[in-house]
Amino acid sequence: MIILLSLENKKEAKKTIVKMADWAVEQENALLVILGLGSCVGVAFYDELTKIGGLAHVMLPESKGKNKIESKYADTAIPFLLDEMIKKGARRQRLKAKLVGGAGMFKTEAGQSVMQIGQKNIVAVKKVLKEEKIKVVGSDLAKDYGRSMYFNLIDGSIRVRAFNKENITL
Amino acid sequence: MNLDKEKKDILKEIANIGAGNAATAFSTMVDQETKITVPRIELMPIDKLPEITGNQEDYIACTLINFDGEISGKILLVLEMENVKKILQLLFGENELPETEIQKSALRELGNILSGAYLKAINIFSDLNLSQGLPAVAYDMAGALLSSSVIDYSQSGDEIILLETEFIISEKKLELFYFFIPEEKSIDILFQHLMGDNLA
Repeated sequence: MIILLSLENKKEAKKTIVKMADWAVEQENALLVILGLGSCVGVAFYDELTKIGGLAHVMLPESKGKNKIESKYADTAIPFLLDEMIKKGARRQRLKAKLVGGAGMFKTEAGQSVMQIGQKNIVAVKKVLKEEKIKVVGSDLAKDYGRSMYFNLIDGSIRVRAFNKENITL
Repeated sequence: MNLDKEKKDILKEIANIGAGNAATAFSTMVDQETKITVPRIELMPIDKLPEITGNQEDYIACTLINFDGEISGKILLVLEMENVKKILQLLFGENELPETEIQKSALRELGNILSGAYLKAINIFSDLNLSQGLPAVAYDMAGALLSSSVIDYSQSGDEIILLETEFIISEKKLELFYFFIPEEKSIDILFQHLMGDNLA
C-alpha cells in the first residue's frame, strides 16, 4: 500500500474531503478525497516538482454566467483551480490532469440513461482542459457506477474505488 | 427561496396526504402493517442530500421518478441494501430471490405504485394535474446516486425543497425513505393554488 509506506516516517497526512461544488489545494503531505462521485467529475491537477495538488468537484458543464460558485461548473472551475494552484507556487507548464466520474447512474426499464449530465460534464471538462493546454494523463470516466477517489499528493497517484469492482490506480 | 410557516404548513399537508395514500398502497402490496413518520420539510443545501442516509459510501437501492404537469419535481425511494432483500421477500415470497434485473424491475414497479398514489393524493387535494415519468433504479453508493438525482436542480440554485417521510414495517424492521422534491421554480404555483390570490 503506497499510502502506508510513504507516510510511515512522516507526520499524519492531512485528509480533505471535497464536497459537491467545492475545491481544495494542498501540498505534498495530503490526501484529497471525493466520496460518491456519480455524474459529477473530479478534476485533479498535480505539479510533480512542488507536489502541489488541486481537486475540484465539478457538478455541471456550464455556468451560464449566473452562479457565484466557480468550482461548481466545468467552464469556471478549471481556470479557478489553476489560479489557486499558481498562487500557491505551482507552475502551469508542469501541471498534469487526471479525471474521475461522469457516470450515468440511473437507467429505466429500457436501459436508457435518465440524465445525460455525466457525459456532458466529461465533454465540457475535456474541452476546457484542451483550451487551457493541460494534458490528461489518467482517467476513469463514464459507465454507470459511482466512484470514490483518493488523490495522494505525495506522488500524485489517485486510487479509485467502486462497489463490486477492482480498485484502480491512476 | 423562503419557506415561511404558512408555506411549510402547506408542504406538510401535502406530504401527509401523499405519504398516507402511498403507505396504504404499500401496505396492500406487501401485506404488512405500514406506519409513516411525521414528514420532515426542509430547504436543504444540495450538498447535504448525498449524506442523508449517514454515509456517502452507504450501499443503497434508489428509484428515481420525475414528475411533470402544473408542478414538476422528483421522487426518490431509498432503501439500504439489507432492506432490499426484505422487501423483495415480501413481494416475491420467502423463496430464493430473483436475479438482479428482475429485482430492479420490481423496485421500479414499487416506485411507480408509490409515486402514483402520492401524486394522485396531491391531485385530489390541490386540483393540480401531475403526471409521472418512467421510473429508473440503481444500486450504488448513496453519495453517487443522490447527488446525481438532483444535479440538474443545482444549475439554478444551491438548495432543494425536501419533503421526507419514512415508511416503516416494524415487524420486519424495514425502513423505506421517500423523498418528494418539487422543483423550486414551480413551487409558487402550488402555493398560489392553495393560498389563493392574497399571495403577493
